[in-house]
Amino acid sequence: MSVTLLGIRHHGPGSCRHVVQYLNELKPDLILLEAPSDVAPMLDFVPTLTQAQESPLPPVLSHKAEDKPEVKNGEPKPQPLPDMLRPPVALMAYQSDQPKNSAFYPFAEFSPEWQTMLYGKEHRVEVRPFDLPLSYTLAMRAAQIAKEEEGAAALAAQLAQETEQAAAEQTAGQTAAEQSAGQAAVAKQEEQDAGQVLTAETELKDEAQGAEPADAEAQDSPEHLVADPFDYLAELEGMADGEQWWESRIEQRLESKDIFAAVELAVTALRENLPEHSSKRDLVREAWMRKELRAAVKEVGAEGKIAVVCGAWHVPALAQLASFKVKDDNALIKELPKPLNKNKVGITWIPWTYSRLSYYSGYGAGINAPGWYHHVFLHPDDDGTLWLTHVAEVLRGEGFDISVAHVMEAVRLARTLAALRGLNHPTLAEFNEAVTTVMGMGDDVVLRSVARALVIADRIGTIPSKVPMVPLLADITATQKHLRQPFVEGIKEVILDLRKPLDLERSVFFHRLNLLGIAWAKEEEASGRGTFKEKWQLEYRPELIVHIIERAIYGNTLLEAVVNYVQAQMQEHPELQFITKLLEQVMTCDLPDLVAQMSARINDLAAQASDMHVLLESLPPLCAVVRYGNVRKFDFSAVCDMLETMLTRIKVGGFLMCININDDAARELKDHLGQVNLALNTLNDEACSKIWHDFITKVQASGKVHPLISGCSTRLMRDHHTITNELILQALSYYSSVGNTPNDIAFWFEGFLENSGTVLLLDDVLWGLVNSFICNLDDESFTQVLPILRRTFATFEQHERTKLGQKAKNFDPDKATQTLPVAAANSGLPDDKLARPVINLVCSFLGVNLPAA
Amino acid sequence: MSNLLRQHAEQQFAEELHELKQAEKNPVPENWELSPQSVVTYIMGGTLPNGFEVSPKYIGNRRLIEIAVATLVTDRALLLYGLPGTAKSWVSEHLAAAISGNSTLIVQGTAGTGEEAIRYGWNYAKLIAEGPSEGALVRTPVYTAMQQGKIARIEELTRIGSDVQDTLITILSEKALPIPELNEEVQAIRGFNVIATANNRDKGVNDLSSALKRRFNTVILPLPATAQEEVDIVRRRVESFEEVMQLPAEKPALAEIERVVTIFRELREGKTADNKSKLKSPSGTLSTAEAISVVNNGLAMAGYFGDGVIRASDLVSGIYGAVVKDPVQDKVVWEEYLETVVKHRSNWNDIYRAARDLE
Repeated sequence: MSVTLLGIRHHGPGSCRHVVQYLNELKPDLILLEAPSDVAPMLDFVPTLTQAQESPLPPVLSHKAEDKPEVKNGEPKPQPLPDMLRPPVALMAYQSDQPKNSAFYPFAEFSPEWQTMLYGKEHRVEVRPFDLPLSYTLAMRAAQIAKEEEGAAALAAQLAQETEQAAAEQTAGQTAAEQSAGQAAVAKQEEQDAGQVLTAETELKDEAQGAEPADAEAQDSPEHLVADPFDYLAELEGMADGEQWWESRIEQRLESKDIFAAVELAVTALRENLPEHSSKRDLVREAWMRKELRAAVKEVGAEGKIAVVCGAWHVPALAQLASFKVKDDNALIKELPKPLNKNKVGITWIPWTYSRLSYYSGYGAGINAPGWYHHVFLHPDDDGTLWLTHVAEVLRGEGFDISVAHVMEAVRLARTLAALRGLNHPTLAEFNEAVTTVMGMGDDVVLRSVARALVIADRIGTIPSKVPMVPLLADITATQKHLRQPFVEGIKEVILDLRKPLDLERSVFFHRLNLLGIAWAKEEEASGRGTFKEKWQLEYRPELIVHIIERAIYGNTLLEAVVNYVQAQMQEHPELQFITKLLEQVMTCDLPDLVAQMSARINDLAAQASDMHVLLESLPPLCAVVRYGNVRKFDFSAVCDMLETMLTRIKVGGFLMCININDDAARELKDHLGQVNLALNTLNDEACSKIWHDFITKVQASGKVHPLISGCSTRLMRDHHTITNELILQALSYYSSVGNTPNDIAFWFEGFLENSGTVLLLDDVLWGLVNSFICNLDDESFTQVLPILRRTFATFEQHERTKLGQKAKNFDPDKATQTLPVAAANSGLPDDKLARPVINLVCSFLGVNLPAA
Repeated sequence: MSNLLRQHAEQQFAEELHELKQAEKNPVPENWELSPQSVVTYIMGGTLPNGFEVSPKYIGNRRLIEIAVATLVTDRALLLYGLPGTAKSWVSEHLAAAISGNSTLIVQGTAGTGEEAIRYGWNYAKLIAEGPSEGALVRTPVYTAMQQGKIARIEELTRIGSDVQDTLITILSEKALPIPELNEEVQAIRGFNVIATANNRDKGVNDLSSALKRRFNTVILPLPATAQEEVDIVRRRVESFEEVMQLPAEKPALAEIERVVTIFRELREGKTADNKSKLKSPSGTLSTAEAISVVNNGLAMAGYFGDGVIRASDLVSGIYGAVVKDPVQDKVVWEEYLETVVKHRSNWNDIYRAARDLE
């Protein structure tokens, strides 16, 4: 009997090479692999090495048009790639009644585990996963989730008690509890995502420096604790950190001989001195692995050879089997919670992507340069020439002029740098620095523009059609069942009344699917104006399933997927207008936490937005959000606060946007002003309107703004009743006086009167103002202003102009000044006689019979 | 010697250079004074095996200095690029001092720098008397550096006219300088190289031709990465300024330096130090060098016109001058910053009031 321990780093291309070499020499009878033992049936889908080598690798996705055709290759339908498992893929495990509780085990071409599996298939050697089964791992997590939800539910129940609806207390408490439990889950998810996003952001920077990103769930994996134990070894050799040490000493080493013995020695020394770096969970897992290893040793007998492929950190725990007592191990295992029922654990293969692998959290082995690792795995003896030639090629594709001399100089610099730093071989960091220095004029903008294409080199794996269903799809199907809206062939129409809870749920469900781009339900214009009515058209097409699986990488449940997806979108399009529009979509999806998060982002963006048009353009959707929140009783006060802040910014800096602009810009600005004004009027929020009015007043009071804007602002102020008639008259005569060019006068009137034909007809005060202004012009000025007025009035409708003419003819200034019909009505009691027909008409609409007065 | 207003790097740090040479263990490239590793240690600071302490000359990213030194090892010319006030000339001087033991072979680039300032000139009296001869030739720093295998420094490369810049191409690629008048040439001996500096903001002045660009490896010296680093730089430089100027004012409190640095950083980066809110950035650079001069200026104000203790009012006018370079746009930025950030920091009231008093 012999046991060979191969201590690796997950996704280490060098480890991978060493493992393959060892396996080929060793020819073991049994391979134990660090993976949950209950994934064993899934390993049947793994192809043989020959099959894998003969079929093409999944192509690199173009980072420019990331979306369509290639992604579909991962699915069984269109079939340019063979129907087999090709990495990057992941084993996904989830609790089937609660898919949120899930775990992923991704594999890349260069993962030692993957190559081990290929080897096993090729040589018909059993590869047996021997880590703690998922039924335990998921049970542990389920307990943790339940604990968190309990806390949230208790809080919610307390809140519910405080509500005054005593009658509905019981049920309300329950639903509120459920809801907030959901929210807590979302919040947790967001936290995690925040971590992910953070990693993604730092990614580029890290790539430039070649450091690994901080892992979101570092606590699971001692190798990635903040204080990396390998840092101590690095320090001894005068290197920057443990990452670099491992990279240069293990991964980049070409010679495989004795390397695993060396790893064992190093880790044993580290573990002896740093017992606190092994978490409780690790110790239990190791106890389990020992148990399996003992059984395996017994099984293969005296002649058998066992190879164990596991994370380097676990090697010492498996090396001296004899020094661990079976009794102690069993005691540890006994402490585990009750495992989940076997049929509650869903395990499946899903396609994975390199970009996902690069900021992957939840496995403790995220890597940040899959593209680079891929290269290192395929070309272990490349001295940099191949890599930098590839870099040059990609850069040329992006339109940079890169000569062969550049490549030569970059190779030289990278090698010199490595020598200066005491490395035998340049790492990605040296190459990146060389590219920046030689090709990029010292600026890493060049590198950053291609980092994605090079360092991630995104690929998506393929899954054979016989593998079972992914959780997102399972979740959507379950929700459909609950909402009684299954996929049916053909087109179906649904009308929802959002006051009914079930219908509201349906609406939210449809909205969420749409947000994800899963185009099943299409919202139609609902007849009638009720805010509570929605009309949907459902149309099932087979590719919907493909879209759902495509989105599965964003999360296991629809809720999770939507949240992650929106966050990814925000990352991709950091423009203020885009996010406000997105927010408008998101608010119908009942995701208050996400709304809050988006609001914060919008707030940030608004702060640095120097273009007032962007701010102005973003305001109407925000107003709509707040108003919608009011109607649906959601608390969007954060958005409301932000609205105020943005308005304040406009108030402070917006004035500069109104001066020194050309006519086109002024027209655009005027449209924006009009839209914002309308939105704010509809919103009817006192504080916001106040700030807005202040801004408009400021614009109006200045003589420097473009006349179109001045006219428009005067008009807006008049509509708000924040300007006296004298001031309007003053402005009228100021802008029509001789000092102005005719063009300016025309612009002012256009701003002041545009689209107001009907208003002029009905509003006697405005009419009176314009009228008295025109009547008081002297002959010369009148001749000058007349063509300009005509230009403005020409924009009115034909019938409006006719009526305006009639009104001018019959208008008696003495009778009508300063009194509005409405004001007159308010001054005394309503006139019964006049009111009667109106009341009757209203009654007939409402279908009630009013007794005669 | 000590009454010199400013000493060259190789004079001021002669002892450090000597000690480094004594402790040398790594191979030294031909005509270099130190090994590349020691050059990096000289610039970044460190402790020698015998316990000798080498002071840091450049506070910042070690990797950048490594790239710079590695570039000089590969006999490619080095271009230090960056905003004004990011220690480009400082690094260039120290690199030359450490590598060649001589940082004085320097050409200051200006719009008026001609070819004869880079290649060679003529002593016209001798030229007329003797005709073209070795004796009539006036050697430039670049010429000398080529002959002696030393580092030549060119300051503000982008200020030099493009036609003159391009005379460097032959020197950098052929490592030779033809003298057609004498039908001769100077071939550079090992150890020769060029360190040029240029600043980002003047990019448009005389951008390098792509032929010349290709002969340089470019290292961009960034603004300090962390507030702590920046405070450290400002403190060191202000202290050395105090020694030279013998100011009556008390040493500035670290707290004041921190506040100046915080204001500069926040405005430069467009966000508050706690990352909670974003800010607009003014048009100026707000470099560390400017922060140093703001503190120095405040120190002088406090010393000569105040009570010797540096206060917010001594600093604010300097800060205002550094921030508001464009009277319209920058003023909005500054006001927004005052109203949204400074006003709400409880212990910054003095700055707020001093700033308001300025108006």
